[in-house]
Amino acid sequence: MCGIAGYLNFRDKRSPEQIQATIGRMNGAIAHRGPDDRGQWMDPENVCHLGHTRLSVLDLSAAGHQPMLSRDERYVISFNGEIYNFRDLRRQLEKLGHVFHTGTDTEVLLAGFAQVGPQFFQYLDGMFALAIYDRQIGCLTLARDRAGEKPLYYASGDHFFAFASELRSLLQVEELPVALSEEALALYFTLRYVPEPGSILAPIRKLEPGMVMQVFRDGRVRHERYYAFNIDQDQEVKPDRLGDYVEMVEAALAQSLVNRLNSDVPLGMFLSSGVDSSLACAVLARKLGRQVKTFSVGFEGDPGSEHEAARDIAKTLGSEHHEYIFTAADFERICNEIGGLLDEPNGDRSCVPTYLLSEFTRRHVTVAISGDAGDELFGGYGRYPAFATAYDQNKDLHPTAAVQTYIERGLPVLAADAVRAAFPQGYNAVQGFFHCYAPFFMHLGRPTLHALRQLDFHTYLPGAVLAKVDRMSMQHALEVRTPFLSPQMLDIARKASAGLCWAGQIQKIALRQLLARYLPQEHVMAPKKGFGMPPSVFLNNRERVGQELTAAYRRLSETSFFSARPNALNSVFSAAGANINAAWAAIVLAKWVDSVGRPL
Amino acid sequence: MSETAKQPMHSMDALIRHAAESATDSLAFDVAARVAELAGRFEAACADLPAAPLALVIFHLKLPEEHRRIDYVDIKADQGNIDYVSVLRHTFAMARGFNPDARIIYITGEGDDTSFVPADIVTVRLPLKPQWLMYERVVAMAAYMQSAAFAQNTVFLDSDAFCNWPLGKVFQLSFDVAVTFRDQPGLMPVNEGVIFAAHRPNGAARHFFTRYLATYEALCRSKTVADIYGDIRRWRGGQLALNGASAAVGTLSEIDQRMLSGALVRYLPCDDYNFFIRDNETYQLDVLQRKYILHLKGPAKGSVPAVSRFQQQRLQQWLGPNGPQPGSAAGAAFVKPVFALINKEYNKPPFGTKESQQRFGGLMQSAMQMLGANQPGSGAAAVDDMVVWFRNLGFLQQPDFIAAFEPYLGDNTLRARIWRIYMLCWAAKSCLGLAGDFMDVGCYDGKTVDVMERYCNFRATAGKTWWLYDMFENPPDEARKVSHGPQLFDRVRGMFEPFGNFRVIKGAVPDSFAQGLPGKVAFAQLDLNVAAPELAALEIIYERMVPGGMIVFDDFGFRRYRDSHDAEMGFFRARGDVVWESPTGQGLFIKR
Repeated sequence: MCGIAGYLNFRDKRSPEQIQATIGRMNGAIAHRGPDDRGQWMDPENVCHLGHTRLSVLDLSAAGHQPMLSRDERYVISFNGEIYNFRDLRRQLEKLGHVFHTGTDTEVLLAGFAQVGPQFFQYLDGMFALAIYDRQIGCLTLARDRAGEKPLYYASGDHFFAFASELRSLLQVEELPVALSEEALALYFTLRYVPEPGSILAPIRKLEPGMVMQVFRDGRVRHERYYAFNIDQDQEVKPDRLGDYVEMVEAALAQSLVNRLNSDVPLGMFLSSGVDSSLACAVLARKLGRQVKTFSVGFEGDPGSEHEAARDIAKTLGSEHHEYIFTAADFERICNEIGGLLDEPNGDRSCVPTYLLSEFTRRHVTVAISGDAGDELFGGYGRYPAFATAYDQNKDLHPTAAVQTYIERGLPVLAADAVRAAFPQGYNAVQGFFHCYAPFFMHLGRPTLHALRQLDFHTYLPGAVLAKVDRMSMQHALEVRTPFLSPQMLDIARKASAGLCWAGQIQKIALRQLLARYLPQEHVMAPKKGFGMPPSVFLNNRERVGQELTAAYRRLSETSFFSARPNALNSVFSAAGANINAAWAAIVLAKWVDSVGRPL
Repeated sequence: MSETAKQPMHSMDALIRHAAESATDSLAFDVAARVAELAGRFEAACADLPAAPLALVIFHLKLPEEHRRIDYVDIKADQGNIDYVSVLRHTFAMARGFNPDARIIYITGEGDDTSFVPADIVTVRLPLKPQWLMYERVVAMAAYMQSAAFAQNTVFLDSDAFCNWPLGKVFQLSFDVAVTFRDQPGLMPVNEGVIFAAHRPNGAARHFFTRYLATYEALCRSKTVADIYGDIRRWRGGQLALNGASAAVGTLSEIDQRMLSGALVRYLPCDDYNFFIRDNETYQLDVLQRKYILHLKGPAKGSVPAVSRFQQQRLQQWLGPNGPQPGSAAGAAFVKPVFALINKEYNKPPFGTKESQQRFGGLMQSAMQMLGANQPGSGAAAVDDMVVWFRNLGFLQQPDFIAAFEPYLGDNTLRARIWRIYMLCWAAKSCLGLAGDFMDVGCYDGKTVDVMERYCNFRATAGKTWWLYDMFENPPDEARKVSHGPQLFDRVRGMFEPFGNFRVIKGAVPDSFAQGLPGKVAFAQLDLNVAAPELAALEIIYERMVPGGMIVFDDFGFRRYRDSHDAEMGFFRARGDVVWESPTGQGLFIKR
């Protein structure tokens, strides 16, 4: 896994030396993503400059150094991610006459792009954020994987365009003035994260998952989607074909795991006691017969901690199991550092245990496989049934209001009124968000569950879940791979009828049915837990939360943004006092502001 | 990556990219002049028609014998084999059946037969060249969009695109123009058979149709296109130009929106909004029922009888419990009031018993019969617990009011209060130009505000917010109504909050004012049915009223709410103000 950065110099305003120095600093800001190597490339015409930091996972030799040029030197690439089907693509490209000189997926990307252009991305099974510069026509192509596993930020000014894997890298571009975005703050306090395409700092933006962006040297920009998680009810598999469907899931998951095992470094698996990670481990250990190293974390003194159940599952599957029981002191330590660990504020509290799990796992392996995205794809969130049932009975609700109601009820941070009172100029972005996803709720006679799966796939998954996993694991240079996000798994998931996702009180019916082949019933039917928190963690201590909020208030009130808007701060904090999600979001924001190192 | 399988898609992809790169807003003067001339035809045809919430525009030209064959590289067909009269009859029937209040416009050639066109369809004859069928259709669309006839949300439908659901709902989504797309290799992604154009104050949809036509013109001059298709004015050009104008490159998704020529363009999946019926395929009825529009493709036009049978059943189902109620007449020119004994006073003496109510009802029926009350042109109305005669009752025929009230033409409770609702509309519109926000305190199910909003077009009013307050559930017994309950708050929010300039606040007034209250108030309605909170609300609102602002008290003149009346009279008397007690039972106060 790696970090990428780049700069387009439109009007030759800056010297090559100046830009290379900028690229060097941008690389430095993302050094934690790629500790094994660093590289910079400079266009002789001084238009495009690229940077790269490398975590070596495939072909550990110097041949994998990036930025990498094509043989004819027309294309140059800076790539973050892994392409799991690159060997298959390489064989097809070889039949078309391409010759390869390294064992890297990067070289295959270059050849594939040279062969078919941006259409090549739809053939990739992988997680990626990349930049390819076509020197012949002066066009920089940026692309991001289907679900948003790998991040890509960008910004432009009068004479430049710059991009990077992380927000903090872009802050190294001297001529980029940034400020807290009122629209982003309104969204952050509505959703607990800032969704694409915005970012917490204007004018920096994020490329949306499944999108390609092309920037030409004359400044023209073109956006184009190559993937959306569409659910066509006419193609769905009905519950009476549950057996067939389970076979399809097992085959696709097994194939996805096989593809994701390609690694020249040690590899392990995250294991909670949940259905998704248990299933991935079970298929790998039992169906594919692989030796597995599994990693779990638990909370000291938490009766809801999953680590004991995870240990049982590991024992059943015969994995080499490692567990780490962390304490309230660990939690406190990370909470104090959270601002600097997060590239962009993320109010999801499970960032902390994810950080600790990554830290622990990296002591043993360089690559870990996770069960993320199973909930979005197969309808596993506990918040789905209540909302879907209510909305199915009240289809008169305006589709835009349906999005809003789901967000407010299912993922509550601050209520719309409080957000609007705090950020009146930014609230239009919140409404824009609701309007954007309203079409999911317009399909006649379609179960609401499908709309919720689509909504979360396009918003919560990249914005909160995958962003958390990427940033927390990258702090330790741990590469996390997600077998549920292979193109084949996505295709199977979008064909799941509501009855295969949920019946009565049971969710993820098809996945549980498959898991029952490998694990005893007590693990198959265990309710979803997620990362809980032990009672000793300070967030469960009202007095301590009050102290943190006071400190956060003081810190934020010192920013030029909030000092000009005292009402905004008062609105947020008066609501945050009674709402732990909002309180945590406010605390994280303040700690993040503190860590930026420049006035905001 | 299977090159052979993907090759046709890449070819189509390249063609669509070429069309997108050719897109332009710049229309040649002679074409623009022709469009303007044709626009006049639409204005003449629609000038005297009552307002309608939706227009469906259907285009068909009879092809001369020598032009009936289509022979393009990717399509070969004989149009002469199709019984278009049968197809169009069904198109009209379904358009009307599922959209009873819509204006349906049929565009055809000057000499074409229209004897089969139902009387309630507006026929617009245009001087068009049938040999350039698709080009002329886009010219006609652009002309309609430029004309004053584009005064409502509009759906352009192919002559074989059958409505299968009321289409007004689609306009709940935010867009100026929505096109429908499919994901089938080898086919152009955007289909021209169904296009949604939203009528909004900015008129942005108009610009898109100019772009559509200008892009068509540009593609007619393209050598790349000519090498593939030859002359695209006859066929293929409309679809290609729409793909180009709507920038339909890459994978399309319903969550994507593009700003093109100042218009917000959305993409809606054909599978739901423009479903293709093909020959030799069987369809499950429950699948067809989920589609907004069924669209016959190619030879499937011979399937009209089968589709017709299905749709007639479907229409009857829809007309059942969830369909439009009596009073929902197509192209209504008159809102028919209803006399109903719905006031709770009818449960007290002298009415009290069923017999006394029946006797009174009988007397009223006789009087109404004699007066012709509640009939158009009678000058008499029995409504709002009163009977009047020798009147103009102009508001019942006012097009703006009819259009605003249109969603509730089937709602007997609202029609029994039509005069009160009109008075509210008048007051709200009168205050629109004042500085200050609007309030509705005791908004209940939001229907009254909805009518006022439509009458004022408040959603398009910049710088103003309409604040709605209610408990929504568990109100005091005196104020309890049938829809109060846990779902009501969400329902009302769903009606208004998507517009952006409405706020719906739940809770008991005046405590709920702490959640939000306008600084200045231009218009307010108070309808709490309980004196103490209404007076408490009045004290707060009064201080915020701007000069010329109005408050309408819904309960003021009703005997049942005498305590509210007395408390409010005392309030105003102490300030040297007066309230007008209207015959409708409302009270009206104008701030000086």
